[in-house]
Amino acid sequence: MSRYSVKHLFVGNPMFAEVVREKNKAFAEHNWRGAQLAARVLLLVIYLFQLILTLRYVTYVEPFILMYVMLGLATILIPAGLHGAIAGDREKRSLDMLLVAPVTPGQIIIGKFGKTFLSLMMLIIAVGVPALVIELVKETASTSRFDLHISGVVGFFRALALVIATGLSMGGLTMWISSKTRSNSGAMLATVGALFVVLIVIPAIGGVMSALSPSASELLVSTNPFVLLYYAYNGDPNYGYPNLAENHGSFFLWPTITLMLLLTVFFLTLATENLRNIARGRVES
Amino acid sequence: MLEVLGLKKHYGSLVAVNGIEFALQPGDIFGFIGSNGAGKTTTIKMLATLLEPTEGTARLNGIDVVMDPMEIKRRIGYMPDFFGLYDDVKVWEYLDFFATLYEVPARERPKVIDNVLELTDLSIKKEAFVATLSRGMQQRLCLAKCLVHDPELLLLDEPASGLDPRARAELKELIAELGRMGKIVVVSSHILPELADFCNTVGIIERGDLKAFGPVREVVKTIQTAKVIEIRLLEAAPEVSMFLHGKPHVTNTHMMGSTTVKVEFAGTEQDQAEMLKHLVDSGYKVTEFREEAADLEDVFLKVTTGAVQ
Ligand SMILES: Nc1ncnc2c1ncn2[C@@H]1O[C@H](COP(=O)(O)OP(=O)(O)O)[C@@H](O)[C@H]1O
Ligand SMILES: [Mg+2]
Repeated sequence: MSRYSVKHLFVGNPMFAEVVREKNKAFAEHNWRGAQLAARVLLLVIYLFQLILTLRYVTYVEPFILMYVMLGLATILIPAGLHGAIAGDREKRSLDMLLVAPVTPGQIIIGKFGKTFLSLMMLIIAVGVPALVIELVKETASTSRFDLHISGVVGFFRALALVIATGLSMGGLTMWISSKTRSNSGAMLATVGALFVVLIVIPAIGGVMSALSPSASELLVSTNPFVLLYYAYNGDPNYGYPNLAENHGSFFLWPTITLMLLLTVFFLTLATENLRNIARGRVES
Repeated sequence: MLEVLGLKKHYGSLVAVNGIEFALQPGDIFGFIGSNGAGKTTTIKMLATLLEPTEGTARLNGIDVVMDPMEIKRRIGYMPDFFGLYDDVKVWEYLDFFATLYEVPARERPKVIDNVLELTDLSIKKEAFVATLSRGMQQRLCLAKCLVHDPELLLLDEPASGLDPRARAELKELIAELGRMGKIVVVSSHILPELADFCNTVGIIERGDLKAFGPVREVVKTIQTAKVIEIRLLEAAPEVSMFLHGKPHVTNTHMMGSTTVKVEFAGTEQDQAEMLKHLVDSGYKVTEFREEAADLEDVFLKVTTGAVQ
């Protein structure tokens, strides 16, 4: 098993048992009693109510609002779910048990990342399902779309790709932070700090820079997922002014998604390297 | 067979483990004894592949800990000195998770889990949540986890610490059973009586040096500086102390009541026989003449207080 073998991370990775452990946790009987049960039932009712309502008033609902909800959830929930992935095990002193098992640090990182990412992404996609339903209904009813020239269904999937890529890169960043910290609370604090930088400081710099360096500012703004999401969903509006930035807003969609995927690999590699150092005792577990 | 070959660990200028060497055979239960900070955990972590040695290595049945850590991991069970368990799952789910990590085939897992639960006397807790287990039970669950892949070597770092006497007794029995199963068991402790009665081999480590190693009785013998011989006479003879005092190899004498004398003796067994003959020839009626068994605890205290170099 070579150190940089990618296959062993995804094929026959025993750490995918984490998914089973997560499932056992979620479906444990004690979670189907009392307050836990009530909360779950309530969430389900809210979800169904929202679904029925959107379908009932399908022509009035702007589905891409739901995509913003998805993007918001992806940027918050995924870091929230992942910050303790390594730090939590370190704090609980259960990490050594994983490190003496015959799995590589890369398999541990992918297993822990995959488990949380997949389960949260399933939730997030469930939130967006009504948007897809609406688009499909609109498509078959062939409602004309005001000055936008891509299909709503295609728009949905382009936006979904952006949401997933954003979730992946935020998750990768969080895994790296988690592999660097020793306690859940420390990881939480560092993750919140990182979110603050990514979601507030960088867009603010983009805004401020527009006076000094318009092109750099435009790049920062145009690659911001919250800005991009609009174009991902709706395509480029044609206002009739050929040079307007908004005319080619979606130009940055695929480069940004590619960049996010590269960042994910980069951060997960850093996290693996940190875990390898812990596994060899170069850094205390 | 476990061979530890010049294992050394430096932390900056601190020498935590100073090139220790020993070998263990299947079925050996090795008591690894040393006071706090002596280097037990550091040694065990190096054997568990969790710490790179500064120098030296160890081999388990020919497999090198440094060169091939992945193969070693498949063959060892390691119980850390301080550990936490995933406590939000059931006991069997916890074991199932680790059985999967250790590549136990899915259809064998239920049987393996039942076996290790039985061995660790946790069968009745199979469906309980880990969080509800007592400290002693968690210790045993951790040990059960170490056994799911039927390892050849078990590394147990201070397994008895924090256990009540009853849980401790159960643990001892379990460890003895593992020895009978042909595994090599390394058990560390800073409290000697915990180990003395069920280990067949002991090692005493002090400031990174292995001061003594071998079967319990031999270690006691090599470390012992002077043996103590207890002599009982038929009739009261307070002067026997004076009589023995100047004799060859006798370093000290104490009267214990009027008929018993303890003699600190530095000679060989031959010299010992000579002394007995001398006593009898001089008219003393000796009813008992025996070497006092120095226990491991005395030896441990002597070693760790620097009485032996
Ligand atoms: N990560 C570390 N960095 C520096 N010194 C350490 C580290 N771990 C252990 N030591 C030192 O190494 C020595 C041996 O420690 P340890 O193996 O934990 O002893 P024991 O387990 O016998 O109590 C101690 O002096 C300890 O302070
Ligand atoms: Mg220790």
